[in-house]
Amino acid sequence: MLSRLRTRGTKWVVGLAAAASVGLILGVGTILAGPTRGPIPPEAFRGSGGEIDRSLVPDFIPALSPDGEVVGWVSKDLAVPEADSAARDVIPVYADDLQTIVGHMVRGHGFVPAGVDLRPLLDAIPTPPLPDLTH
Amino acid sequence: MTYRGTAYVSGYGNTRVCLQAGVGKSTVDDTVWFFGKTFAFDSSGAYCDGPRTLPAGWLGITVDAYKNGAFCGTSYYRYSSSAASTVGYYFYGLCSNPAGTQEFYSVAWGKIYTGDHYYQPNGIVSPSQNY
Repeated sequence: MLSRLRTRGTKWVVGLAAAASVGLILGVGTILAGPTRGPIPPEAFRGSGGEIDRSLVPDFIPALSPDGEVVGWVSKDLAVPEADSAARDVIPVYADDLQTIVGHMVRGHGFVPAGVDLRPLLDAIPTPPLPDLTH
Repeated sequence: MTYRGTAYVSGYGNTRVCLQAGVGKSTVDDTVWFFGKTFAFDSSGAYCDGPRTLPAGWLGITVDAYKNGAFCGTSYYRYSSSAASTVGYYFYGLCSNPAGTQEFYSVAWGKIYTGDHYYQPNGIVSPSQNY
């Protein structure tokens, strides 16, 4: 009887250890795989109700210069925001390492390479008129 | 035009926000333009029916441009410059259109002033255009 219990206990321990190992491997694998990147697939633009299906959008998507050159990557969170998100006047553009900033997507201007003074461009962004509250 | 959300607007009550997005091409030089429009409606009738005129500056619109799933950029915001029930914006120049066929989309983001902040519902995607 005691020996049978010991055998069962051993099986449980081995099973748990195996499950933990698989979980650890999967978790590490996900971390090592890193963020997804690539163009937004056409089906993501055809979500229900005319919204972008953000679940189909990679973590980083290519950014284009006004002449069509791929200049780097922009994050999904900033380029494809959710409702009521903050203003996106400046979006960093990253190199292939997804860490080095090679420029910015500036509202109304498109891609601006790193090193260019953004202040004049940002100053040119129209601000909302003071809403008329005397209705 | 598609319903996108309802906001309580001070002095006006519940106001429905509807959006429209589009992409087009110049017949002169093949330049691709992107388009978005915000509409305000009262909440008594059908969705996107019964325009509600709001004061200057209470409606806004901005448009994102995409080509082949890549991000070309975002337009300025345009705000209603006078009392209006709608405000729209066309822009071009952020997405090139070289020889061959590209798939373009725009995503329009509307804003409506509620009396103490701007409410921005989810954007609307235009039908795709291949140019």
